[in-house]
Amino acid sequence: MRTIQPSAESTILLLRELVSHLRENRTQLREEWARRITEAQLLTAMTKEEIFAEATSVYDNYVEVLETGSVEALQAYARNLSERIIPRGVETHEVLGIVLLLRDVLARSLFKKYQADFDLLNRVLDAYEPAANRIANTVGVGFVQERERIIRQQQEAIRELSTPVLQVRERLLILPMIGVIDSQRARQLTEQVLRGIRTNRAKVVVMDITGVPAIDSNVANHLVQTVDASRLMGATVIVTGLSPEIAQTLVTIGVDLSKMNTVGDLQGGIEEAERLLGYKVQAEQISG
Amino acid sequence: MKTATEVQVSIRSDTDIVIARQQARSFAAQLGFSGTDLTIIATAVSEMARNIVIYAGNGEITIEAAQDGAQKGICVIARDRGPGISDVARAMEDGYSTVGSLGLGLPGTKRLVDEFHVVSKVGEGTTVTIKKWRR
Repeated sequence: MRTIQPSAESTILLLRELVSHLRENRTQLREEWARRITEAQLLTAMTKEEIFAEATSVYDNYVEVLETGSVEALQAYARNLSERIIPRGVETHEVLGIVLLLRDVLARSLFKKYQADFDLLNRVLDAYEPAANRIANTVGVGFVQERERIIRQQQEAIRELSTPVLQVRERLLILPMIGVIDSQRARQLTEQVLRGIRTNRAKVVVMDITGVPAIDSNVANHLVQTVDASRLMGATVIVTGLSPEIAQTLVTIGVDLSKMNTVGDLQGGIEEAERLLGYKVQAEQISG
Repeated sequence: MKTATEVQVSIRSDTDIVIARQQARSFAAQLGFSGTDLTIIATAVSEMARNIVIYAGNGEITIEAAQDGAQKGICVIARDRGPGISDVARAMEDGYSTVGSLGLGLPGTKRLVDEFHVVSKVGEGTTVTIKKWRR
């Protein structure tokens, strides 16, 4: 333990020296960095002024991490930066690219400063490299996490949007289903239908699957279960819009759909539902 | 556009099932399949991919063109290194399932396609190969 102590202390001293070097040469190094970003054709979605402004913030954050050893402020900044640049189409490789460029620019300036003393240069790099790598890591991970967060959010939104439960008449619900149904969506759908039946005191649910491109045995199983569970809650489910291709495929696989109440199209389904509920829709006689 | 000679999809989750299904459909369309056959192929691949997710956790699906004399078609291979099937004959029976599903995955897939082979070894994994010829 005792042997490590002085080296840790000298690391702190070296980092302090490093920080003052980076502060003194801030203007020149920052410009060098911005120039190399443009040269490498990174951040092409941003203007020169914007790149310089972000470069300044990243540079100052960078120096701060070297000084304090804490990446918290940088993490917050990286998140904020990602939020701003992701909608503009900045890619992961660009973000990693600019941080690695900064690491290189700063390392070069250290080579230059300490070229006369190889031993000291080595010790300075020993202090600099782990900190620099940690910074590159923080910014890269921050960017990717923000991207993942956005993707998750959009997935949630799509899921929410994809199966609205609509009330057409007293006790009659319609579910227009569109797009690919995986098991998760199928499960969610069952829940939504059952909840819809409860809150709307529905007697008939028309489930339209015209917009569903494929149904395999697992999804069919979920549909059958939804129909069964709805029946337990006192509601009849009418499935409409089964395409000829899907109908043929399901029969070939051997899914038992005899318990399912199916009607060719949505219009027929609604008419059947109205009949079940005792509604009579009549065209008004228009005179004159 | 040049037709890719082979498409591989690694299967780990529900999302991959959807991807495999879509890839199979577009590959089959490129090979000249149409209408009901596209849905049948997509559904068969869906069943195969679903079996991988449920029983093995992960594996891969390979989709390629098939030819036998004058016959042209599509070949799909589903491979996993899962627990394997101890009784293949039993697994091919309708309604037989060890996980409480409909038990239609393998027998249903077999009915959908023209050629169907299962090779499975307990502890080593399962390979299901299907072929569907263009009519």
